[in-house]
Amino acid sequence: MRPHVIIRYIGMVMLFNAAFIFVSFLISLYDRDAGQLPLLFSFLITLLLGVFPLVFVPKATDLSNKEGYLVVVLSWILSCFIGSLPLLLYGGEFTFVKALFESVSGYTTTGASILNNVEALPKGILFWRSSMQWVGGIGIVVFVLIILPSLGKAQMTLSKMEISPLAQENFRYRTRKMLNVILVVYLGLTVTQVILLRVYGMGLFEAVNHAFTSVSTGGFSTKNNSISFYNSLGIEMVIIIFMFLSGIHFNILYSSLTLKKNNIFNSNIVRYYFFSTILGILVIAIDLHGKIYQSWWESLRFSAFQVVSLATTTGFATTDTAIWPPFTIIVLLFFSLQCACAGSTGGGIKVDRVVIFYKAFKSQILRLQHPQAVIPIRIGKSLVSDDVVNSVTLFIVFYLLLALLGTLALTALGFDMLTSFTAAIASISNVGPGFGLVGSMSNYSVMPDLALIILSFLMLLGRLEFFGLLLLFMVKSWR
Amino acid sequence: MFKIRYKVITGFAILGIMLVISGLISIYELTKLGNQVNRLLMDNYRSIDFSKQMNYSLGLQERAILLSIQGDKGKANSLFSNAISTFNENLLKASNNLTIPGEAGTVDSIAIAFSLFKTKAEGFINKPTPSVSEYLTEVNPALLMVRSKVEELLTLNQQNLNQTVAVLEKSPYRTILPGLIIVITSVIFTIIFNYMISYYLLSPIKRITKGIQNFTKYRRQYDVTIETRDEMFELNESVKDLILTKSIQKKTE
Repeated sequence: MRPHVIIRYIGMVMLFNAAFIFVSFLISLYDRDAGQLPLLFSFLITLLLGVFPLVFVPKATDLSNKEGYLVVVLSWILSCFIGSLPLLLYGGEFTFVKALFESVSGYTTTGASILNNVEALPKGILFWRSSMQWVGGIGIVVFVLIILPSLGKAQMTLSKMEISPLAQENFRYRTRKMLNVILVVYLGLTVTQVILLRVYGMGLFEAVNHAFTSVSTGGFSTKNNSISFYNSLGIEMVIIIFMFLSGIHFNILYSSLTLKKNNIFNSNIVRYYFFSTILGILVIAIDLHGKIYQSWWESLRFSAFQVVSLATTTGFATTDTAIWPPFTIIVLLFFSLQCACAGSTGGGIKVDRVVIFYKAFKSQILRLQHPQAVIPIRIGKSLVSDDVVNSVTLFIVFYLLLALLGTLALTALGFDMLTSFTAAIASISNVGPGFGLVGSMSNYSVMPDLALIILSFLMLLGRLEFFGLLLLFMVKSWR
Repeated sequence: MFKIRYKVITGFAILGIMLVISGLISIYELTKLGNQVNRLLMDNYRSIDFSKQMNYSLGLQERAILLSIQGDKGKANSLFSNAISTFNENLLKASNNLTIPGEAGTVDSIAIAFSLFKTKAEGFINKPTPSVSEYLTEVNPALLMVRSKVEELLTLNQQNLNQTVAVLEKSPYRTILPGLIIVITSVIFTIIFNYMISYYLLSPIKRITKGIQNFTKYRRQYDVTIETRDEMFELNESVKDLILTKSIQKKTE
């Protein structure tokens, strides 16, 4: 283990953060708002912390797996601390814990907020919130790898550590090409969404912010009432489409655009993702009709937005789902658990794992009937190995166990069952809004500091898919 | 690659800049806090003062009404018109100093109640023989209504003053926190700086020293490698050259 090499790579990540803080500062400067000094000070501190290791530590292009894990995990943790700096220096509703919570929620693209009045924030700070989600969307280390072309073997090690193993299955390219595909798709989606939101009448600043937070499936809005503020069908449709697209594996999107075989029409996973979402929208619309909304059109409109918003782990809102019937809440909770496809910006268990788990379950039932039979598990034409099935099962069990522990911790702090369970699920899946006290039109300001720390930890665990972060606590593995 | 001199200077410069930033942030936060305190206190104080002035002028108006009952019309009229202008002046100042939610509504209600009272009081004073019973049934209730509205404004500002004090109790924590965080960051930075100095400066010196000692005492091969391309690398290369020259000299002797 070479701490100085790890520090050098973390330094690069800090410089990358500093660049985004600087852009936010320029926006604040242009707007002459109260975010100027907090952003300037934060930029200087981040810049200094990033520059120092580059001055001292010579370039190292090789990284061991352990070093790679530590670079990724520590980069995320430090970025969250750095991200909280502009918020903390700005003050307002932010205390230390609340600023850290907001920052973790930003980088992990959860979108849970402690703010009662988002609109009171200066534009520079609002842009910084959205930037954190945009950077966190495809992973901060991946972003740095894209920007820095010549990191040699380290590039491969770091991208292996940062990108979910399930997502890597679908990338059949060399590391550099894979990173370029991610960049092209991510930038393409963002720019197209900005243009379409502008077409439907959203201001440039808000369009950029909302594009940043929908493509990253983050869900931070510049408005207190989230997307319901605009009350525009066009804007809702654009956001629904882009949230949905951002929930698909980026390589499948790229292949579809370049008319390759492995496209959205041939992918079993995307087919399941599409039809499960449609089914969810219809089931919820039927349940809402007559109970909450009197017209079928309204039921479908609100159902479609909320299902896609939660199923992609974005967390935008067009209505208060806390008042929706219990059956609808259960269906939405299922989508909060399942979430989007691997290789996208979405969090949660992921559709791929749900499909593999279902096929493994089915094969187990068949094996009971025919004990001697060899029943392979396939996704499309690819064979799924037993190792992958085991890791998927372990992941789902561990995921539910952590959600349970999170719920227990929150109930111990005095919250009701619905609030505790949904807040834990919303945090670990990086969804954002839950139900009860933390519904789509509420926020997390009701939570005490300890609860916010627990939820922040769950968000990070969910974003780093557990094992990376947990490795940090296994001191023996450091050697 | 950077030379050792620049590395050390950079380290100390970063440390210095961080401390300057920490100081600047503390000054900025303290100034911000000071301005906030000043503004909040002054705003509330002004409104309280305007309310008191309005109350005092209402007292004078009541005195003018009593003088009119007594029959001193001239003195009553002069006192009443002076008191009215004092009241209006303070009401205008209060309406230009709206700083608390709900204050605008209270000021409006004072204006409405005062307008009603003024109409009744002027009619009463100008009567040839104003009676006490008429005063008690018609004018006094209107006066009491204005007084209660003025008291409402006074209470609103006093309550806000108390809330401000409660907020200010938490403010030092908020003011110190950003500076404190940067100081903590500086401490962490110092530890990293120390580690770098130890790893890239002291450790190579120790390795070179040990390599030379091993060569001179036990004739072991000198194979120290330095990963940086700075003065330490040049020193190591010079030592290697020296040892090589010495070895060749020995062999030729």
